[in-house]
Amino acid sequence: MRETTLVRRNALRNPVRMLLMVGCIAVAFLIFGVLSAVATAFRLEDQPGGHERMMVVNRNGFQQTLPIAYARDVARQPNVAVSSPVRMALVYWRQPKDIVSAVMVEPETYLDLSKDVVKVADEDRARFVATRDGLLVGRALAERYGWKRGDQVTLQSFTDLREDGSRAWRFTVAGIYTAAQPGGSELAMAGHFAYYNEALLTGRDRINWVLVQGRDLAANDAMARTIDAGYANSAAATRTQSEAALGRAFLSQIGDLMLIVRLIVGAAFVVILCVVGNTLIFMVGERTGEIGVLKTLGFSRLRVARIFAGEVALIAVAGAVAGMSVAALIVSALGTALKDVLPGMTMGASTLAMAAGLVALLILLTGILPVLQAGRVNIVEALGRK
Amino acid sequence: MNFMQRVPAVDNLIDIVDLSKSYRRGSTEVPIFDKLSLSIERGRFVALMGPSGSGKTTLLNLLAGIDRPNSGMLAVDGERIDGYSESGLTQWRANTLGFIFQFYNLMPMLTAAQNVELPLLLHRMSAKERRRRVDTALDVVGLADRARHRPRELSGGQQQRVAIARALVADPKLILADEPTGDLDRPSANAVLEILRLLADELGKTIVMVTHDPVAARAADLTLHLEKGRFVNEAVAA
Repeated sequence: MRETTLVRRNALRNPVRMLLMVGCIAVAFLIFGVLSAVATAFRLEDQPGGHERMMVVNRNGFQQTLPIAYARDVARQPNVAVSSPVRMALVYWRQPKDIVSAVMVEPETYLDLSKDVVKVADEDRARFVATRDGLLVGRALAERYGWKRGDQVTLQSFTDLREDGSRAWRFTVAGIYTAAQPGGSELAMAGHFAYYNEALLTGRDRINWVLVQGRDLAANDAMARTIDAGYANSAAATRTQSEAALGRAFLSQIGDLMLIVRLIVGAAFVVILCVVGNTLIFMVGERTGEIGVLKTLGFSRLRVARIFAGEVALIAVAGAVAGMSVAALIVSALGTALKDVLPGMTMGASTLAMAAGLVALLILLTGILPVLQAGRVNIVEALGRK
Repeated sequence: MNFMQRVPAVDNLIDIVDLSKSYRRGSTEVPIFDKLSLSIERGRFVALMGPSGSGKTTLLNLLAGIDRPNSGMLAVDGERIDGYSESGLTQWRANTLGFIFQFYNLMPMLTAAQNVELPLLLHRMSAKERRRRVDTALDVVGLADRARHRPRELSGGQQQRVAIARALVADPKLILADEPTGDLDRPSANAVLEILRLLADELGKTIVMVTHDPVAARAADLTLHLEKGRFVNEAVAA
């Protein structure tokens, strides 16, 4: 028998209580794991290329548009290597519930700027560039609707009318792309801005943003200031930021997600701390007699404390492993289900490292009082021998 | 000394000189004994009797190093323990003492063998040696076939015999027993006393047993009577 046997047997002596404590801790870690994965998915700064690519958007939000002329002006900035105008198109296929995420772009510059996001075979790229009504469709989207290269598809726009008053936009599937990174979205599509723009009844020559790749990363901030200063007094003032910064700015419109995550996780942990801490103190009180016996046998204060610390650690680690395991399963399922909306939802190394830190903190905070209490037990009083 | 080798009773194992102990209850100082002196030879089986409040348990606590005297000298095997620090006493207990409680005090989640093995966790020895000692100790108390049983699967007498094996397994010089038969029926009590007798006779252990039971006391070599913190007489077994 080793001391660890004693720790394990002690922890398991009341299986129901052990299970409840492990369950409590597991729930806290489950909440932490899932929310952290969601928050990570929202943080664009971790996405490839996100820190290099800049976006010029309307100061009032990217839902507001900019004149296409801005794209030409931006392209003339000295630090700009490549720029590409992008217009969002709110469209669906057949039924309004089949909404498709679509952008109208300048094919060549857009693909040059998106190599880290989409992977396109050379022949697909060439066909897309050469086909005026061509669409570049994500593989998953094509599979979902059974689209093949050369198919004619008619999409309905929620917002944009054609000159003939209809909402039907006809395209040809010119190419299929795949995600360049694991977990990336394959449920979007891109069409030609020129083709879309020329048929618009209203809102012609308007875009939602300009994608910009700077020549010198260090000069990006200065470039952004120059661009924004140029439009400061215009009807459509701009905000030029990295994709990551814009992503965060967008999220700030619905609240500080990380703060919300921290508050929820914090609240869960405080509750768990109280419940588990209280139970452990009760447990030590219940076993005062046994502690007295161990000390009479020659177990030192430190060794007794170590045995109880081991029990606390065992319970906390079991709860954390259980909680994070279930969270991993949920995140995996959510990641698949929300692949298009929130690509990249995974439980990363930073989340696991943070979980490990939380376990250590939990052991420390819940264990310190009971462990001290166990170490301090007076033998004579514990055995009722006064 | 080899494990369980007989040691002849030639000198004192316990020497107590002018030992005083009192407890504070509120603002009152309650004396338990004052300037108590006693010597017990090595290998003796001594019964300690006396009415409640006479100081038996306190004396046993002091001998066990789980309580401290106010003054006086307390030496076991020539080693003064009255001035030891808490960690010193802890170490001393692990090396020198075996303790048998009235209510066995076995760990309910451990088997009989694991309970017996507990004190050996405090000693550096191979797993094989540990197993050998546990097997021998359980054999001495006649419970080799109950090694894998949990305490709740054993009778009171059997549990007390496991507790004796636990007290014995680390080969201590001194075994203290606090009313070891107090919770047992007569046949079980007799079996426990026989084992204690054997530990003193065959293995040379010095045993101090607190008891209220005159029959149990008769199993000892010597019975000391404590009253109001003083020894009033002593009876040597025939």
